[in-house]
Amino acid sequence: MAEIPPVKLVLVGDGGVGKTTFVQRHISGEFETRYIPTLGVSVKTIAFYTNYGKFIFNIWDTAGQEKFGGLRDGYYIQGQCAIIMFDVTSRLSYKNCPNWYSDLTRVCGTEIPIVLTGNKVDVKDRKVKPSQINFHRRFNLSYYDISAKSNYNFEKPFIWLASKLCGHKDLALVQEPTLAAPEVALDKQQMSQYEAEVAAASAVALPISDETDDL
Amino acid sequence: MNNSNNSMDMENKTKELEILLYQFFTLDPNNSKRTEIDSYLSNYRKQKNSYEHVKYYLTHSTNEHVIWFSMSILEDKVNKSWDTVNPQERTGYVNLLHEIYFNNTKSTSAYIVTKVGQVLADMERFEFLCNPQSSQPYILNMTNLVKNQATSLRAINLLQYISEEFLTTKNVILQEKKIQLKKILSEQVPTIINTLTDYLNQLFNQNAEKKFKHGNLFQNVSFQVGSPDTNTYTGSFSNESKLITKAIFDALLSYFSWISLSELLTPSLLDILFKYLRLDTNNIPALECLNEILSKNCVPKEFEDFLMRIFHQIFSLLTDITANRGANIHQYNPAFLVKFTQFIALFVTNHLKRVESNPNFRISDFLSLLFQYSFLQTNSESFLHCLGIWTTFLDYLILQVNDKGITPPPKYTDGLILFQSELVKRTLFSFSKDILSDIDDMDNLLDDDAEEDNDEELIDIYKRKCIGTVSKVAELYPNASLENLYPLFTQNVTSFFQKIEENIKQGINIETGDDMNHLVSDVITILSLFGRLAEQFVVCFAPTFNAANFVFLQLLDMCSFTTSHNTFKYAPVWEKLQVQLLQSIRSFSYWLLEYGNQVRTVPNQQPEFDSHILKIINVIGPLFKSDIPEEISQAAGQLLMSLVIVSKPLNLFTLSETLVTNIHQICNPLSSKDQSIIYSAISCTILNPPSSVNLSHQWDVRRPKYSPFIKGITAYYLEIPQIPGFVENKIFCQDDMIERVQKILGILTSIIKTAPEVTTAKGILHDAISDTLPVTLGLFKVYVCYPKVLGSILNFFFALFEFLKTQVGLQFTQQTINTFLEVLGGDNLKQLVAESNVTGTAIIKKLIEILTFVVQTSGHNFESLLSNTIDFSMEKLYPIIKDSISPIKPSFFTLLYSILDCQWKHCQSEQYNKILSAFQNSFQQNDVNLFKQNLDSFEKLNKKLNFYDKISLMEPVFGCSFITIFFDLLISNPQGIHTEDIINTIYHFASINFDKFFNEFFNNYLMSKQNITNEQKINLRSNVSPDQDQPTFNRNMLRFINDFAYYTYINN
Repeated sequence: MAEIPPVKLVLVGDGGVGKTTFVQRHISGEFETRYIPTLGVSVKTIAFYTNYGKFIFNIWDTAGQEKFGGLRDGYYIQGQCAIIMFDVTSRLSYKNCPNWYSDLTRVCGTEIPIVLTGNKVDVKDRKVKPSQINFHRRFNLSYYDISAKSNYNFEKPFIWLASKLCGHKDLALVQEPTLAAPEVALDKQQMSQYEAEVAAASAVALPISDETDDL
Repeated sequence: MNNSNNSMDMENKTKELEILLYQFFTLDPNNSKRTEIDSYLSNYRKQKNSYEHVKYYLTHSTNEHVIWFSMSILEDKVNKSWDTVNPQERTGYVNLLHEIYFNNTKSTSAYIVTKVGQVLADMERFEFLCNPQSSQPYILNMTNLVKNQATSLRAINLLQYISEEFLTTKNVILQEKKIQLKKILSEQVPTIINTLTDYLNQLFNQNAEKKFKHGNLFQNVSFQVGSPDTNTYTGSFSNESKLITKAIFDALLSYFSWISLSELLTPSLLDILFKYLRLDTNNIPALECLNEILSKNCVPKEFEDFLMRIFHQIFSLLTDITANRGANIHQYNPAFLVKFTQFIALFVTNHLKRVESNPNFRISDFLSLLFQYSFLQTNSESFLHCLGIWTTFLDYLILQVNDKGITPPPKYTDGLILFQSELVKRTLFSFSKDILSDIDDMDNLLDDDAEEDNDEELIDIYKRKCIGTVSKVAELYPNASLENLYPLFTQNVTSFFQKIEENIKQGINIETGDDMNHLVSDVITILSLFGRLAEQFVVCFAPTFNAANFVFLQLLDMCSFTTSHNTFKYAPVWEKLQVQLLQSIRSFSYWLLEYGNQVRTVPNQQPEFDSHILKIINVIGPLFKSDIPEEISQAAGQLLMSLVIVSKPLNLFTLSETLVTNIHQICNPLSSKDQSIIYSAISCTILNPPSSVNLSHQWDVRRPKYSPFIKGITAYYLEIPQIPGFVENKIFCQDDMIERVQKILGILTSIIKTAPEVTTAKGILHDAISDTLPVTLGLFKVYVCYPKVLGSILNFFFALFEFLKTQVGLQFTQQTINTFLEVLGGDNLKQLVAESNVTGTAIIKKLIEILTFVVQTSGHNFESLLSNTIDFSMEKLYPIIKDSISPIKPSFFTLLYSILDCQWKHCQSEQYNKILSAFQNSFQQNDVNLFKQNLDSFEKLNKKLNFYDKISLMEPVFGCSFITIFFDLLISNPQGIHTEDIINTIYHFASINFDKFFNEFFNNYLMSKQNITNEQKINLRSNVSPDQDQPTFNRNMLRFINDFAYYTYINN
């Protein structure tokens, strides 16, 4: 099988949604992770072994809080795929996703595969319900509920991106990724319910109130 | 000389920049040099005069990275301090960028052109604000550029950037200006939309023509279709015009996202969108615009006309796609079909309720087309999307029936029953082998190499969703559905078992190939469907009794058959079949409850009912064996549990006597997990009285059975302390001893957790286990260095306190908790909560949970434990975890919250201060999740106890300092995602005394800030009006944060 060159993945989303925690769940043992919050980006490599060969993602984990620090959208240059992350306990972080999408596609174009992920589904007080998550449908993104803390669906965004990038719908992992031990256990029934809701989610727009609209 | 020096200098700078940027993007992922470069570039950009170099870079360099970086410097300058640049120079830059943007013939990458366009929009944003009158001529000029072939594409893009940059949510403009900008641009929007739609029309007229329809295409359409909306077109657009139309649709999409559509959505705009939609090349961007319009849930003035046109369009497209039994579907781009499914979904979700009862909308005909369309989808994902639309529709009908009490509309019965049948076929290999095999293959690919994987398989998810929808139809039309589905059971399932029985009798080997596996899978699917239908058997009990009774008895017979022939040995799918049989029987629990209730009024039917129950017990009993797979035994245990706690049959206790008497013999060889489930079920059988209050609970018969039952489990455990040399000779740490302790504690915990909510029953249980309590507490001290055993002991006590609180009593609770605090609060605490000690951390977490539970449920009785608990928490535990990222922290703060919540009155002020300081400290730590948890706790405390009032009484220490922390956080933004919640909390603090908040706190806060000028402070202060209603307050705060952040940004 031909070697697949490393892919640049850009990870964006509001500060605090859990981007770095998410990336750090993976123990690749290949490179040391360095987190440099003040400078706005940390690059980490994660490899996945699939039935179409080894996929290496160079993940550009951009700091959401430091909107005005570092090279900002400069980090997206030559990005080949992306993950936009929000926090399901924060409506604001979901509402900002279209901005992240727009910033990303201005640099990378609309053709790159992008996954939308809602993190922290382990938290009981969920504010952004599956039925409200519809932004991704407008732009052909894929969506996954995830929980970095419990490893729930960790690999799903990567599998989807890899399958889009290589054009094989049946791409699958042949080896489970090595993840740090989960910090919380998930309520399986709750997750199944969420999954059902995600699938049945209609494309209703989130109610947007005037005052925040002007933010 | 000077000039040439300068030029040399700039040339060097350009080269240096080129090298640095190249390195930045190409270095290895872990190379720390990237960080240095990043920092260097950021600093360079921040320099006051760096923007002056931009002109040189833009005119002398062709390097894309350099051009991009120059634009980013300029962007900063425009956003931060464009007003400090003199107007002439500003015009110079605008002209330069304009030139690059519109007239640059160099093959520059798209992202560079976009960036130039974006900065141009930012510059224009500034000009619009300085001189609102300039907006009209500017937009007019843009519309001319749109019409000019040479510049049209980029002009259209620029209009899009203007929409995006003017409506920015970033803190790069003052809030007031954002509102002003929206207003200025809104005035120009009609011109912009008109120009864009005119251009779309022009391109369409130049490149497309109407197609003639085949005469028979619309023969099935039962209402007028002569509308121009449904005309179809053929087009031959050049690549350039394709690019332009795409750009126009993208720009429209951007405007649609914020403009008031109900006023601007004109019939002519819809005309042109429909025309592009009906091009034979499937214009996806046009459909995206339509989806945006529908998703806005916008209802224009003439909404019926609007909805009729949309409905008409869906109807017509569905007719085209499904024509000739779907032979044409392959002519459609799959991405178009995905968007079209969304289009239908949006219509059904947002608008169906408006038109469902309107006779002008032929919903039944629409459903029939949707039916055909749905079943044309061969890909499971697309099919599930369609299923989502059906679910929305069915939910709507169910809501109508339940809320308004109307009967389900008969007009849909036949159609939905047909839909139900087809949907069932989609879940069976006998009808949909290809589709199901595809999903199965995906599963196998995942399973083959994955390690143990408990996740539900894709095919199970798919079937579950289909069956869920089938049962929604059954919920609406129970009788028709049961009639429709009943043959599946009577024919397919029963004949399958008959055939297998025949084969076994004749000694024919059972095949194990794919065909047989698929057949078994189908039976499993039908069984799980009938499990779901059991609910309907309860709702319509009398009319469906015969059918339900038949299915139920058949299930029992089938299960006995699988047990007696050990069919699980044939293949894994057969094991699944037996588990499914048990689960389907289990789903009849409520039916049995209803049956039992009915029988009570007709006592002569009691023997028959009892024989049913005995049959279940006889099905369950033989499955508690060590050679039966665990999954099957556990499913049998769960069935027994449901029988006991849900169905509560009158004579269960008598009928299961043999099973109860022999239970220890039966359970001994089984695994711990099996034992826990089975013992709990038997415990409930003895302790749970039958349903109906009028019956005797037979405690006199039940009580004497219970103690021997428990003794059979605990006898070995109670002996432990008497074992000679148990501690001294370290017998306690032998593997078999640890195993014994953990196993028995596990079983007891499980029994306690399933104890019935009946006081007498709990009393009997407590009496039976009371001798194990001192033994267990003794073992806690013995196993102090064995975290796993400690964990089991703590689990046991937690269950005990939770479920048998009253029975255990206060004194024992106090004694136990004090023992825990004493033993765990010693020197080894630090070691237990060390980050690497997973088990130790789990133990302390469990202890905290127990403390929390006791704090919450003991009321004033906890007083005696309060000091010890606070002492342990604040003096021993907190210093260790304070500055760490310990996973204990969330539970720890829940405990502190519970202490404040339930024991507020009993705290001394010193203890109270310590707890508040811990909260204050946590708010300043960069842990978003803990921050949110504690903020929520504060709000709950305030709601219940007027907590902020209490805090403010302690000022100047707390009240202000909390609000100050929250404001600092809002401005520096590390908790940006919780902005709304933080402002709500500030509001609640402020509402204690608004005067004080606005006049004292706010002024002092602003005064204390160093990084903004006095003038800016005055401006900020004057914009915050002392409004006390929450919406205005929140809006003012958002504006304050935006403007504060903006000032900090431009001052930086």
